Amino acid sequence: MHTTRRTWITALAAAVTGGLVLSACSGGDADAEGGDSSGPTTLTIANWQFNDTEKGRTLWAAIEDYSGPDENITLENVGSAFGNYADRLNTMLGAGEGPDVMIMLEAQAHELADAGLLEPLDDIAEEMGDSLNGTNESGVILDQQYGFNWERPTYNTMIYNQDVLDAVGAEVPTTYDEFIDVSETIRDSQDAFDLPQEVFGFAGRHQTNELNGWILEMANWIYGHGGELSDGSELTIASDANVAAVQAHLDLFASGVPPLGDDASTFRAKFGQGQIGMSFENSGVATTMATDPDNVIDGTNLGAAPLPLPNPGGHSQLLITVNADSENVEAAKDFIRWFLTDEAQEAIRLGHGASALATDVPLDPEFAEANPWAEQFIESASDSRSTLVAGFELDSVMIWREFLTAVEELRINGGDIRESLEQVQETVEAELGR
Amino acid sequence: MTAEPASRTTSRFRPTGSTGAPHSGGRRPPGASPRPRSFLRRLRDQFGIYLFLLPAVAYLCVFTVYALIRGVMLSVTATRLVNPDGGRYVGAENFQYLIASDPFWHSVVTTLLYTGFTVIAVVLLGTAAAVALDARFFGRSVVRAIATIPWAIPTIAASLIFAWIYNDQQGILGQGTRALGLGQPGWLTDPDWGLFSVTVATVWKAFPLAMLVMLAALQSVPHELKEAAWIDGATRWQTFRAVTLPHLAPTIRVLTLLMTIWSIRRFEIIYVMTGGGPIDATNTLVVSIYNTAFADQHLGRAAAIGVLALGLSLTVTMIYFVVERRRERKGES
Repeated sequence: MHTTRRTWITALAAAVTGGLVLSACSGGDADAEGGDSSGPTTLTIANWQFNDTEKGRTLWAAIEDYSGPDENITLENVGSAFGNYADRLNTMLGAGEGPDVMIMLEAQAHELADAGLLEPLDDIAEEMGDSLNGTNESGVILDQQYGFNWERPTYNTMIYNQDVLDAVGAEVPTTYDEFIDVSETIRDSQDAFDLPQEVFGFAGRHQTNELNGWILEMANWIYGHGGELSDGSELTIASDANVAAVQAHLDLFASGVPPLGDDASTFRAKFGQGQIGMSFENSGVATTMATDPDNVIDGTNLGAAPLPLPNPGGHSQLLITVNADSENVEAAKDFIRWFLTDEAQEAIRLGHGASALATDVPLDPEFAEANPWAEQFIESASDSRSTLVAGFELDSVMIWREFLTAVEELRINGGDIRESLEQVQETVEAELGR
Repeated sequence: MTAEPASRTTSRFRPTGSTGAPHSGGRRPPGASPRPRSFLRRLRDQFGIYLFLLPAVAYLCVFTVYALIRGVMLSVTATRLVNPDGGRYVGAENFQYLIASDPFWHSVVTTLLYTGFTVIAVVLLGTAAAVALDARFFGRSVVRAIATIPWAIPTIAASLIFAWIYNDQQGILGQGTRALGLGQPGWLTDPDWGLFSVTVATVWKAFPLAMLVMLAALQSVPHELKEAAWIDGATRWQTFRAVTLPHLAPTIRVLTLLMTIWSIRRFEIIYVMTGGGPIDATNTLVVSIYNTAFADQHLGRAAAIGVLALGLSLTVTMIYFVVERRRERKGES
């Protein structure tokens, strides 16, 4: 009896173990859907934006009915939250897996293209010809077209709260000196506001725990003051222009004008509630703030103007790309072709609000009328610049991290800016083996 | 009861001292040495045991042993995250780079400080809370339940709550210190306070587990011993020191070991609150591994940091076992 029971249990354990081993050994091709391009095909598309509440719904609604030239394509959203989006994509693609079509930041596209994980799309660029605008240059990596502009939310713009400026009798600043004057006027005129909370003249990122966002904002300061982190072949981290840019940034954050310690989500919420006068922001955030019914900011009192700096600033660049290891490369490329048509560009325009797109599709008339500030972002996108460090694209994040850590240290502990930036240059060169 | 004669031990029960191997026919002569079992026979007898162990061993092999070997192999290569199979062998270059790198040693020191403060505070607070909640008082169950809440809250949520508490502008802590005229420390924005603030949040999150473990250990302290001490005139403190604490000592040692290992590898709470900043003030080895692997894309170098961090954990574990072994030899609890 005991022996029989033990035999049965042993056999069961053997079966379970065998099953586990077999299932572990079996490859990942169990789900081979879409392998046959002539049959029904599910095209997976990844974009963290699809998970955003309002914007995500609008964008997904604009594309979800796509069925391809043979009416056999179904789109499936496989995006994840922004926080771990890039990491997930990198690890999936590194393992030869991943979605068919992906929206990603240009820095990631450079990494993946360099590793041979993105499908070249030169043939599509050739087919589309002049219908594509200059923003698609961002998709040219290693002399090949690996992606097209999904959205360019430029940071090359200053947004302002017209009510705050009116309350202190200020005009929209057009130079850096005017900008500082207006910021300090707001700081010193708290009685002019009918709010229990303090109203700040300016707000922006300034901490390394928001590294990726701070890179985008700091690029405004560096580029705006005529600086660069490289000349294309050599690093120029301690250049005069960069020292001046860092000095200006530090002076502003030491002046009591911005809310120190606020991260982007906090100061953006404050902007929405009328507690911030000005900010260097991107078009996506401006659209979200102006259309949020819970905000006191809307299309009537939100303003946008060129950066009050001598030169244009930076932008964030989102590219639409195709996975080179996809089983549906041709179907994915057909989707890209459709995405670049006027029909598709008009469809996604509403979701992208004031951002620049792959073609010069105009703003949605209704949106433009309700949000007169939006046009400025389209103009600003034409001369804004990438935050990738020219000639060092694959190491851009590391270079910016060292640079911004030094800026943070200078803000907190003080010190000689030039010496500190020279030290950064040495550290980065050592890291790069130069 | 009298001892049974040897002749009666042949039928059903195994006689003391026999191997338990079934007789293959005929009785072995009295006093004959037991026949050694063959390897195959032992394997057959123990096959079931190995079979039951197999799933766990397979899991460990895939998710621990393989990962460990792969990590060590990666640590001697220059590999980028998006091309994990395309690494180039560089020998000890990654380790040489790290050993010569100030930020790496800063990470090691930060890790040791964070671990040391966290473990001491968690074990002390957990033990104190357990002793307090072991006493009988009205509403004890409710208080025990409330005290375990921090442990039950998801780490990310707790991290975000603390980030808000510490916020320079709206944080309730800053408002409190300002109201008391103590100024406004940059809890998460000043490198002098960053590590302290993250440690406090960690202790708040981790101490309930220590408390529960110590509470369980307290249940095993014989009440008679305490009573005997009281009858002998010992005070409560003397009773705790002489009776309770020796019983808790093994649990405290294991708890300290586990808390140390968990603190060395803790990631979420630090990364969410500071990302390793301000100015690398909270950049522990694990945060450094993440930034090196995912932000800088240097998978090989990140693996090298991981190998060195593993060495740190192993050192702590070995110290624990050496101390334990010495105690056992001395016959201490």
